[in-house]
Amino acid sequence: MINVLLACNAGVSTAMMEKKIAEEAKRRNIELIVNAASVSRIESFVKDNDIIVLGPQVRFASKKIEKEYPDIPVYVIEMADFGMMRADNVLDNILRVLSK
Amino acid sequence: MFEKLTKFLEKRLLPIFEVVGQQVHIMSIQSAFQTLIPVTLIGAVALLIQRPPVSYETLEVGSFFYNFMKGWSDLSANYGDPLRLLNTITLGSISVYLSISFSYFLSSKYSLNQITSVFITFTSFLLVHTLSIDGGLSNRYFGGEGMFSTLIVVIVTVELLNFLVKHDVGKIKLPEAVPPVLQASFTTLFPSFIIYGFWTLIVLVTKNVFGTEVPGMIMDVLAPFLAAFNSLFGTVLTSVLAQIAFWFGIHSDSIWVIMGPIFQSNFEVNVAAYGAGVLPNALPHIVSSPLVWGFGTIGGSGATLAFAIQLVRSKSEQLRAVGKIGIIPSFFNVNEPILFGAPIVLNPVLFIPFVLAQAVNISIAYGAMAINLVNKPFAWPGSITPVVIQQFLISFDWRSIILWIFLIAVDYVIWYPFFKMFEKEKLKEEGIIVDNYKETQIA
Repeated sequence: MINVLLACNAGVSTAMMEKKIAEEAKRRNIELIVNAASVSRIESFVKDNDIIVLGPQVRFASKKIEKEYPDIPVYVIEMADFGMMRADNVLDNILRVLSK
Repeated sequence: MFEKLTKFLEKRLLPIFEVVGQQVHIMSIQSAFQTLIPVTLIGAVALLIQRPPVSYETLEVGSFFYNFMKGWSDLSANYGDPLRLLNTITLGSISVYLSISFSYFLSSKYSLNQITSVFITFTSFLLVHTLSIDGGLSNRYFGGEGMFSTLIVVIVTVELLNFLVKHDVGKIKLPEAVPPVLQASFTTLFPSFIIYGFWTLIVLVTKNVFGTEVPGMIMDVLAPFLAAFNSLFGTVLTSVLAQIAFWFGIHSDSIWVIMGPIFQSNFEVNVAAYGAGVLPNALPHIVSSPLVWGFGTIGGSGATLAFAIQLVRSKSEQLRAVGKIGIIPSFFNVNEPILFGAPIVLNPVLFIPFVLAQAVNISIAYGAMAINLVNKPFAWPGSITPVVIQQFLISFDWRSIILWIFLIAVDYVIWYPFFKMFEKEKLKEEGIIVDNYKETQIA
């Protein structure tokens, strides 16, 4: 089971992405849960997640988050992938980062 | 020219935005304001239903609507008190909720025990914001007037608490057997005495030396600054800064936080005035959340609804695809797919319309309200309420919908030349047009 924390600016668009990633994972038979949270409240949700995925609108937070949670890998979704809602690319990247 | 502009912005402004977007206090205030939305909404709705939308005195005596509105009015006069009380203790006491919510988020950031931090901050808030009168407490500073001092009290209290706890000041060692919950409240016992002592001293000094109350004094000090920002100029300036930040991909909410307390207290004043019987076109304030989110950011930050329509109709396959994904969320004022898909973010060609269109919208809408073409805002359903319904609800005025359509037309014109430039670039990439198109035609 993979737990993904998807963090953005409390936006609605992230909810779209959250759903798409979950669908893509289901299609590929991967057991994965996406937990969405606002980046300003990440500390309340971070526990038990395997990876932190950031939307491109909060990419500037990545350095700080990497420093605060050194044990959890952080991955920032590319702008084009987010804009076009390409959940397949995002899932590929999540799996790639986790396999490292 | 575009490259020079990009370089200049990156060098001068990006570092500032990066700091602002990451700042713990600003982030916590942002989260706090989000949690206040339902409280504000309940307060506004309570006041709206206790006053009939049309005064019966303006209607023909004896007609159905006359009787209906008069009945409503009489009912409210006799039984409307609980509704008015509901308004007073929600929207009218917004600073109370702000102190709770803001201290909760800020203390989580510092990994302090949240509930004890909220207790200590709330007590400090009461120490500073209330007076005892007639054996009870005065709620004079619980509303919008007390917001700025609330922000200051929360920041100072939580910072002090954080400092004291992290430096183990007054930490009481208890036996192992003491349950952790009890342990936590004892850890902050001594620090809380210091904090209450500090605020008591501040209140005493303000009262005896300056002869006033802390919230009142803070408002006096901030008055010139507030007057500058509580205007069309301040709103447009903030809009421009917010858009530049968003162009870098930093969410504009972190900039709009500056205007939060101003929007909130203006809105509260308007709702109260409407509730007291003032006509919707004679309300005191225009600068407010509905002005910006209802008429400025049409289709999302940067007024991108017009641009989304252009994308859907584009000759470029790629742009059409972005348009298709982005157009429906745009009607709910959500435009991240377009911002990052087109993309607009960090795209020099689209910088100008992205900053300009929203500022123009705000100015036109402000003008329309100032000369009474459209009612002034006294209700706010939230920015992701479907458009048209949202514009109508802001002031229960169908003319708002016309204004909204007019603004989309204006945005269309502003975006069009830049969209064309961008589309041409894309078409070249897709090989649909080549640079020497005309020559090949002739040959």
